[in-house]
Amino acid sequence: MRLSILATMLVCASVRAAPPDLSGVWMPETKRTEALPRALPFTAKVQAAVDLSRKTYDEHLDDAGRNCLPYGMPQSMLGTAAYPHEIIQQPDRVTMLFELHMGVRRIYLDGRKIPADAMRTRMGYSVGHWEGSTLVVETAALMPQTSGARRSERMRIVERFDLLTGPNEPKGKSLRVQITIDDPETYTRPLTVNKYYTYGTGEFEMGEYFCTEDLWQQIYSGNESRIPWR
Amino acid sequence: MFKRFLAVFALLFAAGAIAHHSVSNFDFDKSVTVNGSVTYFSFTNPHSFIDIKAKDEKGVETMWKVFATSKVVLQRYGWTPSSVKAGDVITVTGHPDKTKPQEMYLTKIKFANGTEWLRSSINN
Repeated sequence: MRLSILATMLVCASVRAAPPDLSGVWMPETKRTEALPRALPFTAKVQAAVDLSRKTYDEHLDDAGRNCLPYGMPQSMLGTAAYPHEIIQQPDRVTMLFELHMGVRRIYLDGRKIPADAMRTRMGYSVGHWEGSTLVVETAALMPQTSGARRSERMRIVERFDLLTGPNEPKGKSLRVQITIDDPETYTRPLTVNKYYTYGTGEFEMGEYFCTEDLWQQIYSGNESRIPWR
Repeated sequence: MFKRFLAVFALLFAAGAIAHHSVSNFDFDKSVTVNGSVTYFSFTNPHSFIDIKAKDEKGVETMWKVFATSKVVLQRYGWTPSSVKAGDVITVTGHPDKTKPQEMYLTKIKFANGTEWLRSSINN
């Protein structure tokens, strides 16, 4: 009897326990962060396209970053060490603001499903729910991309966000995101990596990153010849 | 606080970062130092660059193009749009381009006011 009361209390407590607050500015940590394999397991069709583009690659003309091709999923999460993102957590949604390319992700936590007719975008359509203290996010409706980070319409991404706290974490807390990328048209198997982010709120502020604007500014000011790849 | 953060930050770079654009055209095994006069400073994303007029070893005036990381990252390191100005005499060290020896990727700079700025030599 007593045990069942205790069990009921425990269940109630776990149901009622508020999810952790992931809000804050987060800087990618390279120490524990994993990278995708160097040789990606491309499907035969995509591998042929990759080989062809490598053969004709011109770093000044074809480099996606240099030409200001904005990021999207999963690239924004795979990230680069120098660029932070900010999480704003609300009960019905999580908003992620990426410094690089001023990227925005909206993750809906209101119980909706990814609409079958959702418009395909670079960031895709994200829905999430809490499994205990873990935020589980599913992303689909991604726009295909054939340069830079490749993806097809069939890509689905599952992320598990965990807040790590304690004296061993730099600044007392870190964010770990396990990212699983499943795209049977691009990769022969799902890819999973763990990314770590260091808490940066109060340490620095997020900056503004416009890429093409600076290029156009130079073109308009007659400095076209100064653009390195022209 | 900020300085401590920069130290951590430098370690992050040293640990090896994925560049948001390729810097594979630079030879990271070589280093070159140039002292000269700035003719143009582009404080921009995805990366910044400085044009410098300097004399080569034969005394011939030569133009150098020095690439650095993005404006948004340099700003976090304390750079401002006026950190480098046309006419400033500066000393820069960087990794030379593999095919264009007068282009480099900045690792160290001595500004006109004498202060130095360093960054670890990986990517971005």
